[in-house]
Amino acid sequence: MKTSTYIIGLSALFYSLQSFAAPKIEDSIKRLNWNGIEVVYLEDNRFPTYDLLIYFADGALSDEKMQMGSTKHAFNLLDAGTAKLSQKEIMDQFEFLGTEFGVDVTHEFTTLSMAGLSKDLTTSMGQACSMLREANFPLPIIKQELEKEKTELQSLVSSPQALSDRVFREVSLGNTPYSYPVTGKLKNLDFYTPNLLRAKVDYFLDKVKKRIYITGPKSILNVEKVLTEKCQLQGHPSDFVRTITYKKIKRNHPQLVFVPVPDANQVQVQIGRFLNFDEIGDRRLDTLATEFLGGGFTSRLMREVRVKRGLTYSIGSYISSQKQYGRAGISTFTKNETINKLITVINESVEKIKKEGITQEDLERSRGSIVGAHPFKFESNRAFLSQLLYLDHIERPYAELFDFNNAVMKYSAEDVTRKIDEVFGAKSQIIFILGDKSIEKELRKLSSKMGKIKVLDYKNFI
Amino acid sequence: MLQKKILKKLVAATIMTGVLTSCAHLTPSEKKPTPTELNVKKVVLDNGLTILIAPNPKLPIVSYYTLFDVGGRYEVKGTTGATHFLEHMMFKGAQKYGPGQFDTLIERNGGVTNAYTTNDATVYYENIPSSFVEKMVDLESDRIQHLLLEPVSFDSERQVIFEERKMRYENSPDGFIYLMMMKKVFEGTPYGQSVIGDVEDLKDLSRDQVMDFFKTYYTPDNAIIAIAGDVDPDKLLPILKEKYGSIPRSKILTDLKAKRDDPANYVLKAHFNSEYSFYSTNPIPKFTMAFKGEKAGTRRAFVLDVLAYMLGNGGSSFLSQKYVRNANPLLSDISMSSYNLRHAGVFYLSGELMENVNIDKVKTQLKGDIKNFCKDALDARTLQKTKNQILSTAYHQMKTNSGMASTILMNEKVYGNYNYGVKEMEIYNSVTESEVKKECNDILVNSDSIFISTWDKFPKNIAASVTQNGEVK
Repeated sequence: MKTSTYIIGLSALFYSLQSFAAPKIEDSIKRLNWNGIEVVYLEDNRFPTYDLLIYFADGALSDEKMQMGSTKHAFNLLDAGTAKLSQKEIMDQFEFLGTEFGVDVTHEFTTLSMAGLSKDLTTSMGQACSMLREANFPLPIIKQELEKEKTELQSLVSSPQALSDRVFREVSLGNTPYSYPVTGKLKNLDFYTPNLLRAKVDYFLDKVKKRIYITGPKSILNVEKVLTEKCQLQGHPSDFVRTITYKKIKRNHPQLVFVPVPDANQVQVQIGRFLNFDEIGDRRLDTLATEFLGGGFTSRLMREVRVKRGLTYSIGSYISSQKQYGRAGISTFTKNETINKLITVINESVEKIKKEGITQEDLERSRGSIVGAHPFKFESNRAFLSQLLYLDHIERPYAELFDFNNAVMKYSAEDVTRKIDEVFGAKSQIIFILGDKSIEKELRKLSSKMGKIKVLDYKNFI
Repeated sequence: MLQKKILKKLVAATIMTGVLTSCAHLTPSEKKPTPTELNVKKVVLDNGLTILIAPNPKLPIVSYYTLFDVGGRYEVKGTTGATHFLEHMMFKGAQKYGPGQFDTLIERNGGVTNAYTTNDATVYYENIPSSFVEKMVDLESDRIQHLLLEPVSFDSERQVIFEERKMRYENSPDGFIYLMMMKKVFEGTPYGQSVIGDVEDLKDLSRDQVMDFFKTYYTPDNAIIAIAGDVDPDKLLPILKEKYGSIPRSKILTDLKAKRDDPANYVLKAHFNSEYSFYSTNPIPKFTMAFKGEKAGTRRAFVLDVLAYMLGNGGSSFLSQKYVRNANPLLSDISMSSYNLRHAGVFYLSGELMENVNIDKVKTQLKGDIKNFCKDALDARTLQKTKNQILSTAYHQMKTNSGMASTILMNEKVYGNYNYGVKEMEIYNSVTESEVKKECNDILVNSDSIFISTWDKFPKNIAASVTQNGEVK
């Protein structure tokens, strides 16, 4: 590819951009069928670029004990080599074309993503197909990559926020099928063999339900031939879709958890819990409630914790869910000296919402915020595709995306108050603190209200 | 928000802004865009305020960026962190829209707002629904004229900044090593001062000092506004003129900036033949090897960008293959960067060791190997790959309104021409293999470096500094 050619192309592109006026956005979504596989196509002629996602209806829940993390590693290590191409050649080819190739594995589903210039799509997809069908996971390369990963995991202790996210996730989802990290842990890394990784990829390619999401100019649809012939992708009604059953988790008292790390002059705090399958139905109310509680500079927690008291630089709340489970949390940090004050302020803020409710003005601010921000969900084609993929995964209609504003306007202040109490009410929370060992004594003062403190070694979580 | 390398990233990412108009006049352009022109309308008001508007009707949303040409480089001894502190206080209320109203109004209408401060600039940005643009003009014009700087929130925000400092630098080995690199490489120059501020300075910084900073530097002739999205320039410009047009230009700024930007202030004084070891919490050593770089905008700066890409960008790059992806890797991660500031630059290599690899061994090997980088790593194919990657990055940048607004804003600031993308691409595209090899030899082979490492096994509270001849300072 000669760059100069594309200066001209780019010029034309911007000229066309000036006169671009989008039709109703949902009208640009088309459903196709390629060899039995459902394809969702979003036409966009503004740029000579594409985004492509391949969805698989299974994820890390397919991993066997002691092979936990094998799905993630099977996809991550696809570029380790094939009989014909070395790792370097594979990487070099993608990088030469400016093609982005990525993998996302959750417990419930897996996504392969590619993005680049549309003229290079068939070439890049051809290489991706070679990797999917012919990756042989050469042992020396696998060992090198896993050694590198071990080093990165050992270093996690020097990234308190990242370590806190990892440990809190596992702790707050404890005793559920979703608690184990999709990446596996140090102790699992020695169990990944070339045969295991190859079998994993074959399982996903041949047994699991797939869907394709693609956006760009019409010319990119010629990738169908590559996907169906070289990748040999086909769909059958009997393709596997992961669903599980599990016993509901019910927590009736708070649990204080402390994870000491060396030499930290800042404490990481996360407060949250697992959400059962019957607690995740109303995602738009979830969005509204977390917007009010911790969704921006004007959220209740930001006002109470940062603006009024200067206790932190950042605080946020979330309720996130997949098809069968969810998790909720408040995430922040503070200096060692103010840890108890921070937790007290957060608890009192949530309690006050329960007791006093939220005002109509609060409601309107939060509603206005998420309704006004809604169009930004469509600005990037990749983000747009990801939302369609997510709705398909949780088996909800696309109308939820396009009717979002109307639905949000129907919620009352009482709905938001109830949701915050149900999800963030103090008695059901894990209160997780990661920081210097010296703060343990101070934390024990919280025990009278929050129960006995549980101290965990972070090394058990990496 | 403090964003340490944003200028470099933006400049690098705007390589291909492509296609722009040639109507960079001092008055509203009447010229119609040709097929090779980006539809940007530029106006410079009588008070010196530069306004750029890039309409895009795809969705009813807008990105609104405001840049002030003031960063950490204008802080004097004892006031480090003042620029960044002021950035925080800009959200704390002004005359018309008092405390809490600025972000409340934006967020209740679906917008988000934030800012970042670098050594060279302070940038405020909002992503908002297009229906809110007129109010946004009012909000922004209010705060740049009538900032309150309330004493109560001033002290509360000081605590917030201390927490931000811990998050970004004190509890982050990567942030800490970067901070130390900037201090050591630019020691004795305005770029050697910490943008977030030294702790003692932050404790002592007064409201009056920050207000003085505000009055001195937040003037229309020191600002650029870029708005991209669903707006009609012909309707928006009169509103912008009405709200911003009466703000007086500075009477002192031109002379003050000339004095502060005197090239003599930026002549590097550091001893580029030294090593520093610092305690940090990382259990596996990390390091940075820093060389004298180049200021932004010169042809050499473009060549160094290409060189950094060629050596260290991506898993197939020379450095990754040599040190990370081989049978006996020394490192788990490596990267090469060229950070081009307005008046000086730094070219640096960073990495993290593999477990149980000795830091001294890596240092010795790197210093030996580096002499061969230029002949082993640089070839025509890698040069073409780099140009392709730069192009791809540029496309990605231009897909959103915020990408467009920040691109034209930075091009206007750095090159005096929002339209510079085509020229930049021409320059990158004209870089030759021999040119890259020459600069590679000059910067890596024929120059000394500063080597900085962090590890939790190094002594606490002591920076061990060793010169190449073994003398401990």
